[in-house]
Amino acid sequence: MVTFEQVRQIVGDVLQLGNRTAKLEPDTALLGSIPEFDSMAVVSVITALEDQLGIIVEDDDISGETFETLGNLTQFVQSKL
Amino acid sequence: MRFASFLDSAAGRIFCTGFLPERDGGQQRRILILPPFAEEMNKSRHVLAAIAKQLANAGHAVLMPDFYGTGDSEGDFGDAAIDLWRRDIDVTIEHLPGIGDVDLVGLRLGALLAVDAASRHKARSLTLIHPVLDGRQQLTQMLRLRLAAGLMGGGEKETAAELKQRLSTGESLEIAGYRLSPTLAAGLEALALTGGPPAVVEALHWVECVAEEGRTLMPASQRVLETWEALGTTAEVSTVTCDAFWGTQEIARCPALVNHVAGCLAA
Repeated sequence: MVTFEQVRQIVGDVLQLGNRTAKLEPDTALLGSIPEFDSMAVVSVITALEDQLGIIVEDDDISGETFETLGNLTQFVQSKL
Repeated sequence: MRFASFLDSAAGRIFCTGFLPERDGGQQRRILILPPFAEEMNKSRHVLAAIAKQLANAGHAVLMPDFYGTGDSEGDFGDAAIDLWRRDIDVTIEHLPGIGDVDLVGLRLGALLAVDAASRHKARSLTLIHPVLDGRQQLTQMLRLRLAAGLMGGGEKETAAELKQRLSTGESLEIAGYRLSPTLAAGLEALALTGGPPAVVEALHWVECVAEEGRTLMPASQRVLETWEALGTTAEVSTVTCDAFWGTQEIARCPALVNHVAGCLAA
C-alpha cells in the first residue's frame, strides 16, 4: 500500500521543497497553488511516481483533478496499484 | 584548459566544448561526454561540465558536443534527427586528441546514444549515468509535457494517442518551446537498451542517482542488466545519492556524482 507520506515525499523531492514538504496535507492544493508546480513539474512527478513505486500511468487518465490536491494524487496512485 | 570550437558535421556546424589537461602526461584517455535530451540538457550542463573539468584535471582529453539543433550548435531542434546526432558523435570522436579507443560517458538519453555509438566505435569503457532505457519513454515524457500544459491552460483536452497520431501523419508538434518532428520522434522510438549489451574493452559502468542512501536500482534497470548478464556482459553497478538534477526545478549540484564518475574513469 502506498501511503500519503510516500507520495508527499516524492512530490517534495521532485519540487525540492525541503522542509516545506512536511507541511503538505491531503487537502493542500497543488496545481495553481504551489509556485513550483508547473507543467514540467507535473511530468517530473508522474515520472518519479512511476520509477519509484513501479506503477504505470496511462497518459489519458491524467486530469486536472488528479493534481488538484495531494490527497487526490495519493488516491490516483493507489488506484494504479 | 577549456576551449570551445565548431566542428563541421552532417547537417551543419556543431558546437563542442573541450577540456584538456594543463600538462601532457602519460596515459591519458580520450573521453566523449554525451548530453541528455531537450530541457534535461539545459538542466544538466553544469554538472556535465564539472565532470569534464575533473576528468581533464586527472589528465584526460574530454570533448562534449551539443547535438545538431540543440545548445549552441547550428540548426533548429525541429530539424534534428537521431541519425544526424550519430554523425555528430562520430565527428566529435574524430576530433578527440590522442590515440586509442574512446571512453564514452552519457547521461540519460546520452547514455542510450553512447551504447548505440559503441556499436560503431570500439569503446575502451562506457559510463552510463541514469540511462533512459528506451527512447519511447523519452518520447512519452515529451508528449506528457504538452498534455500537462493542457491541464494548466484549461483548453481542450488532448490525448497522448491523438498526439502520436498527428506525429504519424507527418505533423511536427510544438512542445514547451521545442518543435518535435516526426523524424526525431521515430528515431527516439527506435532506440533501446534492450537490444543487447554493448561491447567494451575495459569496463561498463552503470550509475544511478537515488534520492536516499540505501535505495536500489529501479526495477526496469535491473531487468535490462539481467538480460545483459544472461548474454555474458556484467556491468559495474553503483548508486549515488543526489538530486535528479536533469529534471529538478532548481539547478542542483552533484559533487558526489562528479567524483564518482571521475572514479569510474580513474581505474
